[in-house]
Amino acid sequence: MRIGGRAALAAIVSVWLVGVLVGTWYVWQYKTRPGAVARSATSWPDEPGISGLTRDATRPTLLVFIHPECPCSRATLRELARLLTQLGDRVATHVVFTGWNHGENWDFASQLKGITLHLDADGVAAKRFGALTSGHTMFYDGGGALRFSGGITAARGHEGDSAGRAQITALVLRGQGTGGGTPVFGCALRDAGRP
Amino acid sequence: VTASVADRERIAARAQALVEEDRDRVFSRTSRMFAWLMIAQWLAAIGVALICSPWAWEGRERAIHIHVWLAAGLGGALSALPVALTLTQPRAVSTRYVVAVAQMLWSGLLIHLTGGRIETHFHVFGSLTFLAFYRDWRVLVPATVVVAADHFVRGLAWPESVYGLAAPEWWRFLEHAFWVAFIDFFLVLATLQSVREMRRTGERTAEAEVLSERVVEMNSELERRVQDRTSALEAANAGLASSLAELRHAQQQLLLADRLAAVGRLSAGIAHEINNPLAYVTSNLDYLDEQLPALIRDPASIAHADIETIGQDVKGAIDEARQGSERVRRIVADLKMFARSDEEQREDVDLPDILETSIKMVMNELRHRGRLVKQLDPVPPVHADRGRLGQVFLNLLINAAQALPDGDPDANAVTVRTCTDGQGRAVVEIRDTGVGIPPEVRDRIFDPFFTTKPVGVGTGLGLSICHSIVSALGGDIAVESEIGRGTVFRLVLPPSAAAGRATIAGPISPARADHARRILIVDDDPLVLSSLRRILQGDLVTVARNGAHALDLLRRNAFDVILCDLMMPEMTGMELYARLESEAPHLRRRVLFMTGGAFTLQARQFLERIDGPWLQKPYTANQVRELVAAKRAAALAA
Repeated sequence: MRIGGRAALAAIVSVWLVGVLVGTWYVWQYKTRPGAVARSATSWPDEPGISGLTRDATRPTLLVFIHPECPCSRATLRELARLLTQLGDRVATHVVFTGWNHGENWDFASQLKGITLHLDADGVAAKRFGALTSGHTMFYDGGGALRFSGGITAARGHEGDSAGRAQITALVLRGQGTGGGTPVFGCALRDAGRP
Repeated sequence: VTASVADRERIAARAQALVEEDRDRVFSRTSRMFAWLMIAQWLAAIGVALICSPWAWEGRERAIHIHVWLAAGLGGALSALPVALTLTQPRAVSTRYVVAVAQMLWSGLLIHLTGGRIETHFHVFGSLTFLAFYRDWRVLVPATVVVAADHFVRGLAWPESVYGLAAPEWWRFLEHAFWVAFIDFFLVLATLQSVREMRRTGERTAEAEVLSERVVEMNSELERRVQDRTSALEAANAGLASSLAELRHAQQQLLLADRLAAVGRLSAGIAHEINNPLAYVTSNLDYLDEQLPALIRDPASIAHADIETIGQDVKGAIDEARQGSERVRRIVADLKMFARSDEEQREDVDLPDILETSIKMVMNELRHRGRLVKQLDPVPPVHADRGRLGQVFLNLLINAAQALPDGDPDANAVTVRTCTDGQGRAVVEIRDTGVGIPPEVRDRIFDPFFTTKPVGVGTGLGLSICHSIVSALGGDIAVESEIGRGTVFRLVLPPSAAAGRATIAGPISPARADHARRILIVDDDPLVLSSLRRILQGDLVTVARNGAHALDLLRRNAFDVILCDLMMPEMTGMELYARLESEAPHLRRRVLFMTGGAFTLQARQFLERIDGPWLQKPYTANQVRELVAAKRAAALAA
């Protein structure tokens, strides 16, 4: 190959590499960009907004808000399944689907054992509990106090160990203090512009 | 074939070239595979994005998910350059490195698109293995570096995405890198081993090629030599064929020359044989010419008894003339047999028949040297050329005749014998009582151009030609000889296929006739005697058929003229003359010699010595009468 050709090739490869790295950086950015989070209800509301969504006074309650179509939330549901495998029936688990239909996520979640599914058609429950992003997970102790509020995936749509799952496990199994604040990765539960 | 030092150098260079070619082929093939893989990964990524995350949602509103754009855009970008390079520069090392980097980045993208599923991480190991298809361990370096760098950077910035831990140990990335290095180790080993095998294969192929070239070179050299030799042989063959044709032609010419030479040597005798009958044919015609005009002109003047006598004489003259003509015709026919010069024409021939002809030819040569004894028993026919076989017999008979010493015909003989041997083959023996062949000469007598005869007498080819003719017939010729006792040539000839069917006719004995009057006529041929008697019918004619009879008559009677043939068997005219010189010298002047030809030196010298006319056969009646009258007159004058 001629020297000119080599230089051109090097330039092309460099441009390509830079482009690819930029793209990869963008992917990173996307994956690590959390959804909006509001202040969660610090104690289980008396009127959760959905009939049947009641707290079990005998054990802690795990509450997960999921957008029925959000592809990123499938990772949350898989992490939830792992969590349930670890925790068993030590917690009462409720998954609230906000929106107008069940979607693929409902189908997936309905196959998990030991959880109760709810449909929050008007988003009342999400509003009462302060959930804005699909995948938002809250953990209330037996007394109804909020002990954890955040995400249980390490990144958007990313399966695997995460700080959120580790904290909930520690709360249940070792009864250690409070947690939360982990980023929530998922689609917005509310339509854009809606309060 | 063994390799020389130069060959080993060629083998090494060729092996290197073959390895390079082989590696180029591997690089090209693997690059093509990666081109397809890149395109397939891109399409698969778009498919995965469309299936798993087609939409991004915000409440009830949806938009195309960023994954779809990423798969199409970033995936397309990731594949584009490697595809372009693998298609345009499939063998370039830069292509392999770009492919390696792109492939590992594809692992990251696919892991992302599948939500970080642990199963997708196997893409990394699969990709490393696939990269090893290049059989270039260096390709694994950038791939491994990309994986390590990715883990290191992410380990620092976002450990959960790599290790699933928020605060992993600092060496965690090394652990991951170890497993990548682990597989790299085996892949590098496999790659190096593969390259070694390629090299060995290259060396073996190069060795085979070089040695094969050597074999081809040796073969072509061999072919060239064979071709040269073949050309030389063809040229030699052509020369030989030409020489053979010339030899055959020469042999034919020699055969003919020898035959004609033999016949030529016998020409004196043949002329004699022809002149004798011609003599009495001519004289009888003269007689008729004289008698017939008188008979026609005035038959009444002739007495009845005379007419009867004259009629018988005329009839006799005509019959004898016819017999003489027939003899000439047969002799000419016999000569034709020897004069044939065309190609060999074999047929079933009767040996005694051919022997008879040959004997006739040589008889004049023989008769004044010795007797001829014929024991011609029937033999199986032989498939041969009549002329060539006659040539053989003629040669042997001439040799036999010439082997006899001159001047004692009673004591010498040539015996011609035919018989059949125990194997049914025809045997011809020609035996003479001559001087014999010395032992030192005997082995060479069949050699060409070997002769013991004086220059001009023999060509030295006769026996050589006899040998070749008899050998060509599948027969054999042998000689036995004893000095002073004689020689016998024995021919053994295989019978023809028709042997056993032939019948052999025996020789016919000639008729005899004697007459006697005042003029003594001495000749061995009775028809000559008869015709002369008729010409000289006005004289008292007495005839004698040989010298001894003539001497006997001369002792008892007086003759004015002695008309004597020069060449006779047993006692020639010359010998008779010699006897007269000693016994009755006065009679010498009365002798009038006649001859069909003085063909021997002895005869010519004799005729010069006697200093007088002689009668040359064929003669006319007038010549006879004139010379007889002249001789008579001379004798009376003396």
